[in-house]
Amino acid sequence: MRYGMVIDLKKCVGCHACSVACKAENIPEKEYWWHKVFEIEKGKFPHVTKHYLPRPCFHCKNPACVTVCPSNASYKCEKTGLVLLKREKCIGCKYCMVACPYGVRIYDDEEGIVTKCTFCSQRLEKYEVPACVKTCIGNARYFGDLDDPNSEVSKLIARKRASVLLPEEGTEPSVYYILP
Amino acid sequence: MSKVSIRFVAWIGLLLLLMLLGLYAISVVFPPHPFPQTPWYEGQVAFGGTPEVPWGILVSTYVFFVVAGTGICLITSFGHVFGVTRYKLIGKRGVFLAVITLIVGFMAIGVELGHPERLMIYFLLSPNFSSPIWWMGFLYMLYLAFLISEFILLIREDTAKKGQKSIFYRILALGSTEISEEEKERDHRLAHIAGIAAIILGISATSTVGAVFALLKAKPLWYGPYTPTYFLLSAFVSGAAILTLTIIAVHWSTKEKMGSKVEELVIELGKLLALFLGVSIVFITWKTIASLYGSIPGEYETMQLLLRGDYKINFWIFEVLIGTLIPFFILLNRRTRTVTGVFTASLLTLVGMFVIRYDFVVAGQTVSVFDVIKHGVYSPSHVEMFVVIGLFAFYAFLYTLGEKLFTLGEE
Repeated sequence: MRYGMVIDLKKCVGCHACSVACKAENIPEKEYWWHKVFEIEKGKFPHVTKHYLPRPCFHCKNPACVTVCPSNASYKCEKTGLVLLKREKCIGCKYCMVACPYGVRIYDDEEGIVTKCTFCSQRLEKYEVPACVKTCIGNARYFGDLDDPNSEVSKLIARKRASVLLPEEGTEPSVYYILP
Repeated sequence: MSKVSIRFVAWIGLLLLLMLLGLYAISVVFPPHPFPQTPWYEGQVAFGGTPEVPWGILVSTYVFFVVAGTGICLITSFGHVFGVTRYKLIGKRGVFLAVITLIVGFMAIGVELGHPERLMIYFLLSPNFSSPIWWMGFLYMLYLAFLISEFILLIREDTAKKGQKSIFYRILALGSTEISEEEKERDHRLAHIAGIAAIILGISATSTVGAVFALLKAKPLWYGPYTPTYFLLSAFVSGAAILTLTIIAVHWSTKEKMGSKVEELVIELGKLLALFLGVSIVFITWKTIASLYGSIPGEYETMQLLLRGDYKINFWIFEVLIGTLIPFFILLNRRTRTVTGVFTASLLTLVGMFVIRYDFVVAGQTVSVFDVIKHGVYSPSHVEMFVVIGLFAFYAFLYTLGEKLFTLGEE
C-alpha cells in the first residue's frame, strides 16, 4: 500500500483551512506550520491569473530526505509508503531540510530536531483521513491508496491527468495535483 | 625576557577572553533539551537559520576548517611521505596543525547539531550508508586517527626524552623514556605508513565533504562533480595559507631569526599558493560562466545573487579581490614575494576563503528548485558569531599550547 493524495487546484479557494486543521491536529503549541498554501500569480495586468498551491509533505516514493539522513531517523514506512521520523534518533543536522526539493521539513529550535507532516499517521491508524483532507471546504483533496488501481485517487490521476511537482527531481511524490 | 613573557601573557589573556565569549555563546544553545541548562539558555532559536536556509555560518566554518586541515596534511606530507627533504622542516608543525584544524572544525559542527550527543550513538548503531554525511564522518574519524598516530610517532623521540620527568610525555611516548636507533627507524617507517593512509583518507574525506553538497539535486549551485573537485583544490589553497601564516607568525612572535632554509621554504610555499590560486581562478571563472551560460534553473539565479544581488560585496570584494586576485599578484611579483608579502597574501587568502565557504553554503541554499518558495534569507546571529570567534581563539590557543608542549620547530 502507498498512501497518496490528489489535490484539485480548480477547487482550492485558498482559505488555508488545511494549514489550520493540520496545526490544530498535530502541532498546536508550536510556532511553525507543517502545511503551507502558496499563492501563485501568473501573467501581467490585465491578463492575470492567480491560483493557490497547498503543500503537505509529498511522501515521495524515492525521498531525498530519507536517502541523506545519516542516522536513519527519517525512514520510509514499507507498509504505508509514508515518510516518517524517529524523533529520538534525529541528531539535528538538518541535512534532510536542505535535501528536500519542496522545502517541506522544518526545524524545531526548542527540541533540536527536524519535524514534518505525517499525513496524520495517528488518524490513519484509526482509518480516518488526514485533517487537511477532512477539513477542506471545497472538497479539493482526495486521499487513498496509489497502489490500488481502483482507488479514487488512482482513477482521478488517470482520468484527470494529474501531475506531480518537479518530476525531474526523481523523487516520485505521492501527492498529485489537478492543475487549474 | 620579561618583555616577551608580558606579550605572551597578554596573548593568552586575549585568547581566553575570546574563548569565554565563545563559551558563553555555546551555553546559550547547549546542552539541548532535556539536559539541565543555564539560566540564559535559549536553544537554537538563538541561531539565524531559517526554514529556507537551515545551514548557516557554523556549517561554513566547519567546511573552512576541515577542508583546510586536509590541505595542511597534504602539503606537509611532501616531506615525510613523498621524500622531498626540505619539507621535512615543517613536518611536525604541519601534522600538529592538521590535527587541531580538524578538531576545531568538528567543534563547529558539534555546536550546529541539534543533538550532538546522539551523533556517536546512532552514527554507529543506526548508520545509513547512503548518506554522504555518514561517510564524511566515518572517513574523517579514520583520517583523524591516522593523523594523530602519525603525530605521536613523529614526536616520539622528543616526548620520550621529556618522559623521564613527566608522565604526560611518557604516555605520549607510548611508555618509553628512551628511543633506540632501531626504534627510531621503525617509528619512521610507521609514520610513513600512517602518512600515506592519512593522505588517502584525507583526500577521500575532503571530497566527501564536497559530496555532502554535490549530491543534492535540490540545490543547483552545489549539484554535480565540480564541488568535490573544487573542495580538493581549495584544500590546497587554504592549507598552504595556514601553514605559511603559522610558520611566519611563530618566528615573528618568538623573535627567533628564520633560518635561510626555512625562509626559502616559506617563499616556496608562497609560490605554491600562487599556483593553487591561479588554478582556482580558472575554476571559479568557468563555474561562473557555465552557471550563467546555460541558464540552468536555480543555478542561474544563485549566480545572479552572487554577482549582483545580496552577496555581491562578498563575492567581488572578498572572494575575488581580497581572497584571490590581490594575494595572487602579491605572490607573482618577485619584489613583493618576501616573507612579509607571503604572510600578507596568506592572511588575505584565508579571509577570502572564509567568505568563499560562507557564500557557498549560504547562497547555495537561498534559491530552491521549487520556485514557489521565496528566496531564503539568512544572516548570522550574534550568538553564532561569538561561537565562530571563540573557535578561532581556541584554535590559536591550541596551537600556542602545542608550541609550548612539543618541539614543533624545524629539525
